Amino acid sequence: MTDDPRDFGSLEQRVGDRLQRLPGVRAPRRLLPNVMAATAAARALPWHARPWLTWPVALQVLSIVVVAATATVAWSVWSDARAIGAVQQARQATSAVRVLWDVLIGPIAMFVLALTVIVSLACAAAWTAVRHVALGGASHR
Amino acid sequence: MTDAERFEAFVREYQDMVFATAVRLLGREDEAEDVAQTVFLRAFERFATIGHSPSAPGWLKTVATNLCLNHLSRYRARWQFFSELDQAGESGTMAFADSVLARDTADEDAQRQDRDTRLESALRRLPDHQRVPLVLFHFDERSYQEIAATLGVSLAKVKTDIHRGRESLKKYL
Repeated sequence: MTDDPRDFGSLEQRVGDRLQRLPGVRAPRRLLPNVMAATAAARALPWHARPWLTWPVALQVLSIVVVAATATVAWSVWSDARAIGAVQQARQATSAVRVLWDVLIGPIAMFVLALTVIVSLACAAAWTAVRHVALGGASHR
Repeated sequence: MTDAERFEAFVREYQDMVFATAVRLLGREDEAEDVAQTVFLRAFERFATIGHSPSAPGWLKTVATNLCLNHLSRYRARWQFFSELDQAGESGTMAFADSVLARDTADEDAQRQDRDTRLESALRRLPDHQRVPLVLFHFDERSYQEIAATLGVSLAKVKTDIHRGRESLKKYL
């Protein structure tokens, strides 16, 4: 591979010119009959079995309308189902929390709360007593 | 003239161009024939719109090129394999053209024809990664940047591959 840009450009020019002057390539003789046989087979198919692009225009338009209508219906059904599902999900979650409260947390909540208050008050009283008796003198020095 | 007859005339008119595009990109006549047939079947599906369109040749060439590139991309492993075996591949694939090169012909026309045959053979026998960008550059008149974007490779690789392809073809000019 040469590093000289002039050689690069010259070679590009020479190869390009020469390739452009190459005679055309002939397709094999069997290509045309093969293509025609394939298209004849395609023509023999009923319209609905052929590619959509080859359908009659009226049927193409009709198919677009049908697909669009189906998609719209499907979308609305799906949206409704989603909305209903969300509400139901919220209700279920709320019910679950309520049941949990009523059965497990509710009965012991008040007891735990009362116990917490009593223990806190006891601790505060004890701390005050300790401060007053043991550390009273030091704290007022 | 029936639709079938009009389509037959259409195929007859453009079959050489489509096949040439395919065989130069793919380097293999059997695969090029399959691609050309697929191109015309797609044209048949849209014949109502492109049958009389002045853009039909461009449409056919674009579809043929895209189908060839898709065909090659299905064999990406083969592409990379050839890319890595660069030098070895070049020497091996040139064997046929070299044997053709050895022939002597007295007549000037025959010599020119012979040179054309050798060059065409050499072009088709280039490794995929050199032949495809070279054909896109010289026959499809695409820029290096466009080729790099089309093939999904770096600009530097495109330039290097095309240059190596040209170097390989130099002795057949």
